[in-house]
Amino acid sequence: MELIRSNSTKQKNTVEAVKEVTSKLHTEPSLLLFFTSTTHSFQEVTALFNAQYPNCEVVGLTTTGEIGPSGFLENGLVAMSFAKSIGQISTVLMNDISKYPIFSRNDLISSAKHIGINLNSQTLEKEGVALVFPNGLIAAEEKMLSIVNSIFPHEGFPVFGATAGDDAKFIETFISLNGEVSSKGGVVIFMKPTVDFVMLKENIFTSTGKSMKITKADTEQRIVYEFDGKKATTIYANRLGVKENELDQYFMTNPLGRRFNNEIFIASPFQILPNGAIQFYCQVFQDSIVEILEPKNPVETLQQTLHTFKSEFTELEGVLAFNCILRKLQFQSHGLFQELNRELEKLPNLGGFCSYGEQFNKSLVNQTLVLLGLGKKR
Amino acid sequence: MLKTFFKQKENHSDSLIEEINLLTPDEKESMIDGLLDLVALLKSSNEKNAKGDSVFIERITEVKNTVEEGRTSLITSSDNIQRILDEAQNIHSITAAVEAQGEQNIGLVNEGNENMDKLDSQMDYVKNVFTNFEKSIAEVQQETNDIIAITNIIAGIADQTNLLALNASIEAARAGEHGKGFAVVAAEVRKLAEQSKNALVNVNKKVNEIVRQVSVLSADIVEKSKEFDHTQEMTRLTSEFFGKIAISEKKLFTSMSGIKLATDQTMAEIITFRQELEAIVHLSEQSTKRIDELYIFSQDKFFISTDMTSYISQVKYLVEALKNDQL
Repeated sequence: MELIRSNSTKQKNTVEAVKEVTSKLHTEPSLLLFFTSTTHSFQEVTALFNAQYPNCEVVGLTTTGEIGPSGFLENGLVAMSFAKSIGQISTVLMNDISKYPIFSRNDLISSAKHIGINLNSQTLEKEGVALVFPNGLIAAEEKMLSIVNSIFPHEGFPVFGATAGDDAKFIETFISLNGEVSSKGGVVIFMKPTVDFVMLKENIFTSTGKSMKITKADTEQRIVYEFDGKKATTIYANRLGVKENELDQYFMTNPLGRRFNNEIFIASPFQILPNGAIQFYCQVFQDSIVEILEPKNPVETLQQTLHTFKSEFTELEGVLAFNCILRKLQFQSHGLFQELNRELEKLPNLGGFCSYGEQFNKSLVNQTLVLLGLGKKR
Repeated sequence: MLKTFFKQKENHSDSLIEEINLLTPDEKESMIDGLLDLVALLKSSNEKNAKGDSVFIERITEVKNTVEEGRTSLITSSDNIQRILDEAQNIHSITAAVEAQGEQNIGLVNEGNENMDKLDSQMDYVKNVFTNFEKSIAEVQQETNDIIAITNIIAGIADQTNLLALNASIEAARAGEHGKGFAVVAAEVRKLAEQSKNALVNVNKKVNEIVRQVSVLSADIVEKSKEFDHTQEMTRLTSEFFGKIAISEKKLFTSMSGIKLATDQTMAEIITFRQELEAIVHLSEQSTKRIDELYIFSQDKFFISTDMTSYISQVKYLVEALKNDQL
């Protein structure tokens, strides 16, 4: 029996959509994930799934686009089921990740311990994995991550997730756990799988070599006021070689990257504020050096990524994929979905969504595609 | 209160809540103000730490770039040195080859010189032959002159004989019948004298021909003799030239040996230098590894400081909640 199954639908009627999408899933899974467009009422979808799967963990969220077995889709509903034999599963709904995620810390500890994760292990990467789904638009991902990671004294527990979206309306996002809906919280799923897993982060950007220093920033608000001692928009536009009043047109293609040795963590600019400051989709840090990035060929990069990813496995059961909204918009504007879907549909039991941010171990990143594969490693 | 907090760890939260509830408003306000001040201090320290981390990462990046640049230069130098070594080896081979060739050339030159001497001797010999030949021709010319003189004498005799025979015929005719027999003899003698004269003409022709041919031959020999002198002169010059080449080759041979010696020495020094360079490259590789370790360390440190940022902001919210008496 397949350990993981996924399905998608573009059915507009919510009841029919849930019926259709669940028709190909396990009837008695241990975990069910659903990712829905805001064209469906989230309350209704949540209720329907929970009614159909009363004996398993049901986690859902709103998106800004979905990813199903055939690749990217819009205004749809995607669901994934995980068979009981996948391993141990436990879940926690952190009610308020914006101000008081600390209140959920004890729940996280008990939940992880409940499925046999040794919190004090010095080889945490072998203990399991945590899937995290924070709400968007409340600048709370890093806080949620800090509390989830805080239950482990040592470094290295794998964390993988993405921020809920709302079809680029930027009003309110939702997540739910076992019927309980929240717009201020986040869901954590601890998994101790019986199979191997591999996490991969794809970066479709490369450095232009142009760098600047963040000299004034509000980390928590994700705002940069100044680069190199001058107004943020001025310096950014200047370095990029574009007019300051056209800078926002380049945010998608030329985000910033913070380099750690040979790895780049992308920070995507969100919007320009009245005083020439720039707000980002993730935390930005004063006194750090950032580089202006430029895009690589997305299709070629995806081909390479999937090739590398698949070659890690002798047997791949299923894949969770979370793709940043900005990447999705970039693909949309260049009409690349068909080509990309041709690559994505080669993955077995693929499911996921387009998000407002991706979580990869200790950091929130932007403009990335993150993949989690479960199966037998080479 | 502090003692209670530290000693009764298990139910410290209960006793803490009890104690908080017993606080006066002023005490509570002081506590909250204290907490807020501490939060501000934590935030400030964390920011300084984060700044330090950023500077640290900047410096490591600079060091890494410098080390990488250095390593690239070293590798380039190492490659260049290998090229120099290859060239030096090449020079070594060439000088050895030239040296060997030089020896061969000297041998050839000596052989050439010997052959020149032999040729000179041969030419002297031939010249002698020519000289003797010339003498012989002169003698032949003399002999032919004698022959011509003799034929002239014979011609004279033939003429005289013819006249005598004519006279005899006339006298025979005068003698009538008694002289007929004599007239026949005289006529025959006249025929003989005619024949002799004709034969002499032929002989003369032949002798003249011989004289002509010998003259041509003589002129030819004189000409050839002159050429021979010229050739012999050339041979002597060539011999001198060979002598100069031999001297030159010997000088070259000495120089090549010198170059070979110098090259061997240089190569040994370069090999030592390259070994030292390779040791430095190896050290810089180790430096790069250390730097990579530093990067991992600074990355971990960065994540810790971002966690700190999150914790500090959460404490702030909690303290504000305490202050406002609501979450």
